[in-house]
Amino acid sequence: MNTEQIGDVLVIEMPNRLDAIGVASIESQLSEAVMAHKGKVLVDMSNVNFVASLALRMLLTNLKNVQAQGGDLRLSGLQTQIADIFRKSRFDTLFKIYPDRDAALTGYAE
Amino acid sequence: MNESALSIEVPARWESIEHLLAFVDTIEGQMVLTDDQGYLLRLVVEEIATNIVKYSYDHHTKGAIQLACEQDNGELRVIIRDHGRPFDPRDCPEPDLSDDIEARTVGGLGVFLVREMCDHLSYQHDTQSGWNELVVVKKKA
Repeated sequence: MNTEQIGDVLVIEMPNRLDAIGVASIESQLSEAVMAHKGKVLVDMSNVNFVASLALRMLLTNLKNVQAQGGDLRLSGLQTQIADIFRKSRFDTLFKIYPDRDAALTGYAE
Repeated sequence: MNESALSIEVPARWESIEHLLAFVDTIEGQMVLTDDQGYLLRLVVEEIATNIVKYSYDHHTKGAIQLACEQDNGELRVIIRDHGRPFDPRDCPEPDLSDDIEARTVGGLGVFLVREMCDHLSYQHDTQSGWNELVVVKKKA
């Protein structure tokens, strides 16, 4: 899991597979990074080619936690199949989702 | 006709999920799957096998999970079997799909995703042998 601070936005790059093993390997690191930053978080999903309910739960938990602190967690770069999962589960209504990292950073700057 | 089949049996324990996911990699290397078929196969392991580990067997009677993949003229059949508590995923209630972030829960989402992503799903509990069998089908396109 790579993290990078761009301006006031914490950008977190997800690994390619968010299956049970992928989630277990980043779950605590992700929540610690999000809780320490407290503000604007962008989760870059462009490498992700698999998500299941476990990964959706992890993202939602972090969204709730950071929103409770006045921040936000937005997503960028969903591959076709991932976007499909988000649509079917209606998770696309819970997150602000951008086509790519630049669009998300512009969105945060507005 | 172009038929092939691969199968594995593992104990219904958390450590086995990793083996099953590695088995999915093997299948993807040996069968020509479409992107959607590969995704569904991984999803079945991730959601259904995990449910079997969590709910199917009680602590004293840890049993097995059998996973088989068959391909027939491009159609993928994923068969997952266990010997524990009967659970028909078709009876699983619709998950919470509300857009209220605070209230949103994610219970039942895994089974819902499997149902949504496949072309056909059937389930059978054999009262004689006690085996549960879930068959999930994904066509070529």
